[in-house]
Amino acid sequence: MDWLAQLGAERAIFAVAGAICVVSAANAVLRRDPLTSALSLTLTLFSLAILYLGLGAPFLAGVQVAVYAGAIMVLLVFVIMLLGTEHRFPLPVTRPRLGLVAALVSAALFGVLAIAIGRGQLPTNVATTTEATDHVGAVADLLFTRYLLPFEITSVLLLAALIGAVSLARRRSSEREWPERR
Amino acid sequence: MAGAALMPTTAYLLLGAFLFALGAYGVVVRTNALAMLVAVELMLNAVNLTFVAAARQFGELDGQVIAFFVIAVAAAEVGVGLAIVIDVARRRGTVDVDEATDLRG
Repeated sequence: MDWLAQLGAERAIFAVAGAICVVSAANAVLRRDPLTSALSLTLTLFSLAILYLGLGAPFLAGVQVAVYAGAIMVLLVFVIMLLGTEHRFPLPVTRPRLGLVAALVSAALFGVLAIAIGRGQLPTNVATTTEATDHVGAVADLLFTRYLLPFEITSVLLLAALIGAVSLARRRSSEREWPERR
Repeated sequence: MAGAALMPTTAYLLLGAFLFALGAYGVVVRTNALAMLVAVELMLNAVNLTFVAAARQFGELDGQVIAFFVIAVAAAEVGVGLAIVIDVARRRGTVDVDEATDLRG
């Protein structure tokens, strides 16, 4: 990412993608319609992928777009459209009494985190190893040596989740189709 | 490399903290299970941003690998979570988490 640094482009990337990220994330949390929330979150995920590029993580940016913004969000949007929640199940956007308390607690959480970040000591040298020319190769070396066991466990986890999801979502013949809301 | 032109890691950490707090607010406040899932995804991504920013700061790729694992686990979480939401919607005709209180939660 030398050329990025020389152009000072990372600051521009952070300013633009960070602003998109904050606005779309707020939109995702605060809007009533779940479909709007999901699509706003997709925009957030894309802006995070751009931030990863600026941070010198092109492989993760690709994974973010392909797996997160691609597969996961398509699944989420698919289910939202399948259930048609906004029209079938009108819900209040927030719990009225809890809203103010939750906002205060979240603000306090951010405040504590910000204080911790401000007081923390980061190593001063921004090292250059992440700017290796063979970035994907470097990640793969780590993934298949030091992190080989977690990698294999992840595959088992995904298989278990796959079986669990199929088992949970399968329609049982004895059930009524879409009962009315009680 | 012109280190002065790089964005300080603190800015990324603050952005991650903000997204995490926003996601936590969403999880608590929303009653729609699908909207809660969206907020959980936001929290996971906030942590991922923190990991990647820290990876650059420390000059190690470990943070990026862990973010990779987080994405894989998030995929499993969304798959099972959506299956549960579909099952609840089929049994009760709603995705309102306040109505799924059989365990007196």
